[in-house]
Amino acid sequence: MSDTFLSVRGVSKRFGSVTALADIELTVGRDELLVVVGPTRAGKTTLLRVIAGLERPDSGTIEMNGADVSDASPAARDVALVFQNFSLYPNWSVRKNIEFPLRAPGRGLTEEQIQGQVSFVAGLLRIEHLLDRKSTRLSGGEMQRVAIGRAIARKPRLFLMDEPLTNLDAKLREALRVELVELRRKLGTPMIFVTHNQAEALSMGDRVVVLSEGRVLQDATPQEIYRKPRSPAVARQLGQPRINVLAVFANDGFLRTGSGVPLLPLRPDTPRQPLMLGVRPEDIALEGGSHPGTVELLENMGPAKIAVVAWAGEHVHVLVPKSAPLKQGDRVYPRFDPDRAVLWPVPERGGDAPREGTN
Amino acid sequence: MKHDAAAIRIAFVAPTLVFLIVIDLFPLLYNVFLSFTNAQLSSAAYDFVGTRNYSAVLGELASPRFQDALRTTGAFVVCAVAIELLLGFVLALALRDSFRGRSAVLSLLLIPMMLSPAVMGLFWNLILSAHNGVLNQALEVLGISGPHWLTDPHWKLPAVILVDVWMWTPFMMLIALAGLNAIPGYIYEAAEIDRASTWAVFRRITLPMTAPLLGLAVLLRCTDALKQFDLVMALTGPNDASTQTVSALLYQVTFAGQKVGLGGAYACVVLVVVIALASVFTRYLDWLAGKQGRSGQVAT
Repeated sequence: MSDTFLSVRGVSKRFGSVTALADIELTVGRDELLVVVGPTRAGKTTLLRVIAGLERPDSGTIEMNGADVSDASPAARDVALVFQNFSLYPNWSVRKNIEFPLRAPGRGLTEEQIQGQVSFVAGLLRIEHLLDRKSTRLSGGEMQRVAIGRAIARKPRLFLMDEPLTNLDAKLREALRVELVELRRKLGTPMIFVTHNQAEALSMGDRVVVLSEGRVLQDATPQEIYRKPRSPAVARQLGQPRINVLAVFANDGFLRTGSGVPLLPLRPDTPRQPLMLGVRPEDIALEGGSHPGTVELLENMGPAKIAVVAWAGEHVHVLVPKSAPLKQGDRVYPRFDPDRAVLWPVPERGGDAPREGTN
Repeated sequence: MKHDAAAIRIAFVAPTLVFLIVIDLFPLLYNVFLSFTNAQLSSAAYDFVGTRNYSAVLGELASPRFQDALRTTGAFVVCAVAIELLLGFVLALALRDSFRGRSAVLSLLLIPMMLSPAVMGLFWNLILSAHNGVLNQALEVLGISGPHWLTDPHWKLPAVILVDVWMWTPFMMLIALAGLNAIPGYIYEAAEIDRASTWAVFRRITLPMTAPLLGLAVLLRCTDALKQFDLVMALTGPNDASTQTVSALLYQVTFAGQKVGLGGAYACVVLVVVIALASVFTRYLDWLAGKQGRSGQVAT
């Protein structure tokens, strides 16, 4: 048996004139948490719905466990989907909500087994005290737990989670993020977790797929995506504070900014055409130097500060320690770490043009 | 200043108030007044008779003809509303998903509801006619010998029920359709993911979630059917033993018997019953509103 549970092959889906998914290729391992991250309208939800069987792709195939399930009903696929809006059955008790999938035809569970499973799940998610409450009388975090409980109670072959933490407050979101990873590891069931939150993507995923406008931009481990983003769009999608992206060109032994200020010494393998350079705020040091810029703004981030430096016609964001003796108007030279900077060819117009993403 | 505001308020309310007094309150009080007299349709003169009309009504309540009317009304309400509910709900289920020509079918189905009951009664009188009526001719084609709908005592009430069902099933269907459309699609998707059977989805999601609205429709239809008069009038006349509803009896006493005072007393008794029913009705609506209000929080 291969280590792959799910293969999505060349899946495309259009809604009228809108392309939701364009030739998607991805796989999920048997014991893997794959995070799909992308801005709003990237096609994340459609991808999950296609995998669940709620939506039929226009082309491409979906394989589970080596079998083609492209034409199978959601029931036959036996996957659990946690909807972004929770989708609990209103006016039912929490217990009834969790029991419902266990009573599906063909399961043949005894009442005892069903109740056992409900208590197991309730214990796992710490919702025992809510079992007899109506689902309409729960807080957002409680509804979320119940929705997850309903999904795991029946031991599906695959978990699909559609931004399940988005509607929660920050504190609860972080707690549940850790819990969910732990829970999945315990259950050993593969999971696809969709989010637009870059922190969730980097902290939760065994592997991360970056999706934008229905296309896979990159598919790699979180570390690799963070360190070696394949395009400015990927780089901008992940990392907080956001990466600095500058247009540069090679000349006279240096990579230079648009205004000609030298940035980094050229290497033998550096292409000579105009390039985009990406460098994360934590990979820049502020020093005195020959071409100083001006600190325009200092933003307190708690454990650290962001200095916005107006320099060489650009605004460079630099992460500095909280204790750094910087003040507005200081003259500083931002030195880029040559090993951490990433270079890309200048994207074609429209294709991978720099654009505003969320987070 | 304060007086001006009060004057404006009164000015705004006054037209409605005058209207209600002329249309509602005056006839009501006048009817109460008449119920204590021996007024007749044929003469303007009348005398006070105290509570004699009311004792007559109370005596009448125990009479066989009133008991019969009550039974007839009850049978009519139960049969007609039950059939309308069932048929309407089935039609709504069938028309729930969109298909080619759905709106045309829907419009056609709603026509009976839009027509005047009295006119429809007259039309059905022709349709149900035993020998040259369209219905029996159609049945004959199928090899069935149709009953004498409007002359056979056993078939008169079913005939009235049939016409009522024809008229009001679209109403039930419309309300059921509204109830079905109000069920959010994500619940069905969740059920699909949860591998629920078609029957479980119907019994545990569709039915309970449309029940409150169906209950409302049943209440509305019951209050309407309880005062059934127009179809009876048009199909069999108000004084037919097998179809005389309470309203028809009331009409018979007041107008055919020309006893306005006695009819007034009857009307007062009926009014009390109607007010009792109306309070059940408003309570149900309040309960429904409270329920909807709570579940409204779930939506997202």
